[in-house]
Amino acid sequence: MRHLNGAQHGAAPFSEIAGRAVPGLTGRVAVVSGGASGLGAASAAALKQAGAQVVLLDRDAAAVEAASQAIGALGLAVDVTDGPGMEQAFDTIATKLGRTYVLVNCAGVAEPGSVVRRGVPMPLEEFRRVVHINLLGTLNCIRCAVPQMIEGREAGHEAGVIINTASIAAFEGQVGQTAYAASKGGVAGLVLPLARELGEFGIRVMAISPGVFETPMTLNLGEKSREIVFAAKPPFPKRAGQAHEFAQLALDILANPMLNGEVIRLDGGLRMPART
Amino acid sequence: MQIKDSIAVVTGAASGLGHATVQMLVNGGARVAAIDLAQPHSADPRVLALAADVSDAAAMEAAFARATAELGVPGILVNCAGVLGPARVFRIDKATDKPVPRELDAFRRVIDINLVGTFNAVRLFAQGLAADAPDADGNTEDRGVIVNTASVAAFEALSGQAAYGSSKAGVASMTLPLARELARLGIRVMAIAPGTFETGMYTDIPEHTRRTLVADVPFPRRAGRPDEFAHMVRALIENQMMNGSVVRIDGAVRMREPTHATSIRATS
Repeated sequence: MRHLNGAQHGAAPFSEIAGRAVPGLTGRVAVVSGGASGLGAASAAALKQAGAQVVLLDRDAAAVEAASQAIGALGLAVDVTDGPGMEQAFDTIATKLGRTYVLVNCAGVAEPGSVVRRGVPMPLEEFRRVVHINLLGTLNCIRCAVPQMIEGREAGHEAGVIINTASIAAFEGQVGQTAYAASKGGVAGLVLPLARELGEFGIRVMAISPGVFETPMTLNLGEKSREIVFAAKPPFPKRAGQAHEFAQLALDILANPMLNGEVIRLDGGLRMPART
Repeated sequence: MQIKDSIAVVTGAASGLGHATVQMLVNGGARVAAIDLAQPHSADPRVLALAADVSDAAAMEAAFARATAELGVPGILVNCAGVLGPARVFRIDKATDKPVPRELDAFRRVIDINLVGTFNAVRLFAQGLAADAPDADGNTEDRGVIVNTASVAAFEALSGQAAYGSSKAGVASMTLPLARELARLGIRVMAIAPGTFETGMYTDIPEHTRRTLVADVPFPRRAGRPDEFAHMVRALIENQMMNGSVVRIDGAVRMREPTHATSIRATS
């Protein structure tokens, strides 16, 4: 833990992004998956501050309850890999708040593992689980949000904006990150075809590709994996990213209508070597 | 880095993306040295208008010296100076009906302005911060931010854009090594790769090509506005984790060769 500053990953310093205006966001519904912690919680708080009606989705019922109360959002406990469960969640959103306008996909897991360890192949379920949560879960939220965006489009406005979370591992996956890198590569890869598919309906699709950030996902890794992840230092600034910096970029993406179909790296210039 | 009270240099400042960037910086509370080939007109007291050719070492040294003397050491550099300079590699000579190579100067000019000119401003900007505090190791504050203008043509240039595309690919490719090299001075380096934007360069493109370019943009189906470019510049300046990468801002367009591309004979 010597590289970590525990005090920094608690309440995000939103004063730094306060006052960032996002035209047309006031009163609109913004849904954040993985919204109970980390990048999702920071994005949710930033969206709330920018005037949106915010919905948090998270599989952890207690955490989503607490996090939604903390910022005055609607919290729904749902697993991103659950098809009918997600449809139900979006029905609830439409009934309680109105149609979805912004979707920020932050739900994700990092579970490092070797493809073959001591002569034993990785259980297929380990690989499938990571790909299902990170990639399929992203698509699950998107398919439920898109019809609401299309139906709720207001004349002269965009129908909606989708911001996904890829990762630096999509481009420079390290040893032991095969499943995580493949899942995030999939997230990066869906951005352009989806932007092309949904453009005619007035929906933008983007992704942020964070480097090493201090979030529960990285802080709660096993000790060895955590040390490996945080040993990688960007050229500048030589520190891990903070969730509010991700949230700030998410708001800047929302506010800029020409940003579409692009994966933006947010990593301080870090390029991961094979091993750290 | 905060824009308020910062000192910025913008090249290509008289028009298009550069002009919008100057406005954004001034509105945000910066003082700006606005450099263009002909001295940009500005009645704004927060703008120091300077005339210099970005590809000219001595002229840019003089411009940076004046900017530093009058405003202080610049902490923000936004390079927008650039030319399209379409040039196919050969043409058919009308008299002899034989192919002749394009004169080398047509390519050299594009490379000199877009790529060498960008580097010229970068080296002088970095020198200012190096001289100001030669050892900034361990400094966690941004001391400088550089935003260069690449282009989607760095990745999908059209025919006739060999010089433009390769010059912009050069701008894109120097982002990471510059970020790595200048990190010890606390300088971040980013590039923006705009698609089709409403600038003077855009209106130089033939009308039928422009129609195809815009028709291909998935959403929004229009050319970008310079203030949207400036908004991106602001987002990069203000977010410290942004470093060493190229951001496309293009409405998801990927440039493809117009299907009605005219023959080499007709366009030589």
